[in-house]
Amino acid sequence: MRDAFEALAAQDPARPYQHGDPAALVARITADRRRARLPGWFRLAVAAAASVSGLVTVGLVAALSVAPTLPLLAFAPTPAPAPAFAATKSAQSPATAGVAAPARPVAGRFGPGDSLASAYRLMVPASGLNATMGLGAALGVVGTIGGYNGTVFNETGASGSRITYDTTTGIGEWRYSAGSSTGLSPLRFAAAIAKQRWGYAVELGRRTGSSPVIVDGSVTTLRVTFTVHDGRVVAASGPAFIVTAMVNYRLRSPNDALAATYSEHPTVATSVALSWSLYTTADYFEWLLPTFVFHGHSGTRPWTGQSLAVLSASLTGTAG
Amino acid sequence: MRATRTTELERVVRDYQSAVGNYLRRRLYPLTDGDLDDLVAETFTVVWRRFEAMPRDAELPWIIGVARNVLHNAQRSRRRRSAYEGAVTPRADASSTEDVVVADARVRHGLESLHGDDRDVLLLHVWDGLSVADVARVLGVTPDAAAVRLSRARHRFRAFYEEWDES
Repeated sequence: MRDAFEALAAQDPARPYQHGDPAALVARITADRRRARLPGWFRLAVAAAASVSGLVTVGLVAALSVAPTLPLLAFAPTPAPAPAFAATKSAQSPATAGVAAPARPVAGRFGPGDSLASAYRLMVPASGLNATMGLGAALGVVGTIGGYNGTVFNETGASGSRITYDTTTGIGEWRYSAGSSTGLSPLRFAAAIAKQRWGYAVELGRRTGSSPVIVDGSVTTLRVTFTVHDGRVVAASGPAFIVTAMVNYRLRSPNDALAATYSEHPTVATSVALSWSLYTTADYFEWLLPTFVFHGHSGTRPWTGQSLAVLSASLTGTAG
Repeated sequence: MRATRTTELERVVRDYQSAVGNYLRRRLYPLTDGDLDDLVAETFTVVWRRFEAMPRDAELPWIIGVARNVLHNAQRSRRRRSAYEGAVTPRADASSTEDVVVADARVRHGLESLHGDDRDVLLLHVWDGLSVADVARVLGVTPDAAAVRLSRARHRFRAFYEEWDES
């Protein structure tokens, strides 16, 4: 019989790979990284103001922590009036599951998208070491910090509690695990998290759960997760970032967003709320962009949907 | 200075594009050649942005670590887009690539027995050919931790591989 690892190696799907045009790749990267082409389904492209003529930039409203030597985002100055929500089908004729014909939303009037909402540009904290120390101090993990490549930091306290802080993605990510006989009281955990530069609203009294990250008073779709065992928070994780810029965007109509995103699905939206979700733009920056979160039903099942709220004229490329 | 840096990037692309391309191909399937090129380009773009942070004595594991993050971002974006386009709720993690590309049912059974992290360690070692020290660098853990994970993964994989009943 063939050895297990020989068999595994034999199943390696790799084959000789050479990038289609490595010279052009290097030229593109070194000339202007913002022009790097990405598959549409990987990235949502947002135009930099300088690259789109005829568009009016909206001023940088606030630089919250870092000097704003940043590209501004752009939007069209005169968006067409968005139509009001078209409720044309009755709730008595729900779409049948499996029917291919598009089903219209049948409930709710969400109004035109003529308002503004802020988008927030995020960056990883400048010092991973300091961020790890800050998290460690807040969560009661004080010990030697080990680092790797300047992007991943670990701090292990005497009790075995541990903080891992990772900045290798566009924003930082942290994880906390308690030692064998330790853990934080939920109250202390909530207080520690509240002290961070980024905001968290932690619901107490739950065994496991997640709570939204709040930025500038706005509830985002980013979450901090936590596990409570024997009345102590024994594990938690969440994002870490600095808000470096805030730009106002004109919003599209919730109805337009709903129709564009869910037109082929038998969904019925009954309410909509504005939230903020993480996107990576074509220039590799992370943004919290306003999004519509819809609630309703699909047939007899509860349904939740989400769609970018920024007016499409503000964007280059699409999510699809 | 910039010319030197560009020359250095050319070398890095030349030396590691195959490893990066195959790392991504092994874990995201199916991929068109164009999409694979785009992901490789994205990886090297991030490498360029963080060029000064790349350890000269451990370039490959550092670059694979970047590719790993690019891959995770791509998978997240893919799931997010799926949710936008009509899934009633966002999907849970899609089945692993290995479940699709591995034709040997016995091997697939062994891989399916592994927790995601352990599977990562085993495949970085067996498929990507990284040493334990390099696996540790990719994952940002100590070599001891990587060795323990690899040992656990090997033991479990072999056990499930050998227990597989073809019938």
